[in-house]
Amino acid sequence: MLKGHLDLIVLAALSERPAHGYAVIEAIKCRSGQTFNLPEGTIYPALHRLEQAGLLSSRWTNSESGRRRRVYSLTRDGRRALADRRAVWERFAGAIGGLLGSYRHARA
Amino acid sequence: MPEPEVFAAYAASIAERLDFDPSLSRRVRQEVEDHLWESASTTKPNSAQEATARFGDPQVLAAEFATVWLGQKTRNLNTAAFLLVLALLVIMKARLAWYGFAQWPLPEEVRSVGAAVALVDVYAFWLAASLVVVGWGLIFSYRATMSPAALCRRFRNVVNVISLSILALIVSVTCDVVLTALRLIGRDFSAQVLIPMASIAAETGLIGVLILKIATLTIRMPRVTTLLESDTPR
Repeated sequence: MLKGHLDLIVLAALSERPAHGYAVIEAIKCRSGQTFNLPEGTIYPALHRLEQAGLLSSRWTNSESGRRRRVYSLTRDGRRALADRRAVWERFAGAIGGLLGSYRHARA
Repeated sequence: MPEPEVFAAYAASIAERLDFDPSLSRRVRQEVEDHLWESASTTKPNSAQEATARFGDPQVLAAEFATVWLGQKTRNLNTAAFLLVLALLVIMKARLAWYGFAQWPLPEEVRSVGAAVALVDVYAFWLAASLVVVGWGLIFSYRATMSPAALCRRFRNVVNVISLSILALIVSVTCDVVLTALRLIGRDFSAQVLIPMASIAAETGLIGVLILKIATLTIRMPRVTTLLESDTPR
């Protein structure tokens, strides 16, 4: 289920600031309250795919330790895609919440 | 910790599987190594092996990267084929307009041959255009949940369809060469003659570029296929 929403999760994790892969994973863990603890490597193919789709851009930088590091940031299309997907998700979550709410209500 | 050789070997085990594209392979190796070092310095895993285990199975990850790569290459190829069909249509229409403007009809004695060749030309061209549309259909109808092996077969089918499209375009351009030759027979050489000849040269050159793209992808394909069609869960 998480896999189907991976693109939205990655876009959301990059919405505040550009970040490298490790920082994206940390942002996902932190902002999901440690709920989304993905195998760390799965994030990189997703970053590559989103970059090819024009939703992310990336560039090499040097880390403090001197290692080369790929930093990803949202493009304008990426911000638009995130806004669209967020709106779809909020409608979906609202609808499910309503259904489950009435289900709980009926059982009570 | 740190155990640099463990990180280097792990990153290499993914990168080596991606050696069909040296720039992708280099990039992945650097990203993975950087990630493992960052992970080691931040979360202090008990061992380098624990850090690499958290990263994932190299075979599965390499297959994910290869799927993204193959998807992009096939989409690019199909786009290039679409642009080629469009360019050839414009060139052919421009050449016909030029014949009308210069009043160069087909000579009476070859008109029936010309009509037959023109018919083959039209059918071959529209067959090529239809195959490009089929290619788009195959690309856009894939589901993200398909296994790497199924995706690989799907993308390979796109390459086959585009190759067939190119064959049809070669037939179409060959017909154009014949039709142009029929119109030029018996005419004195002049600057005007260069216009249809230049248009044919442009058509041939554009097809050559696409053949080169297909050949490049086809050469890399067996490595990608081996990687994706091995038993990788998704």
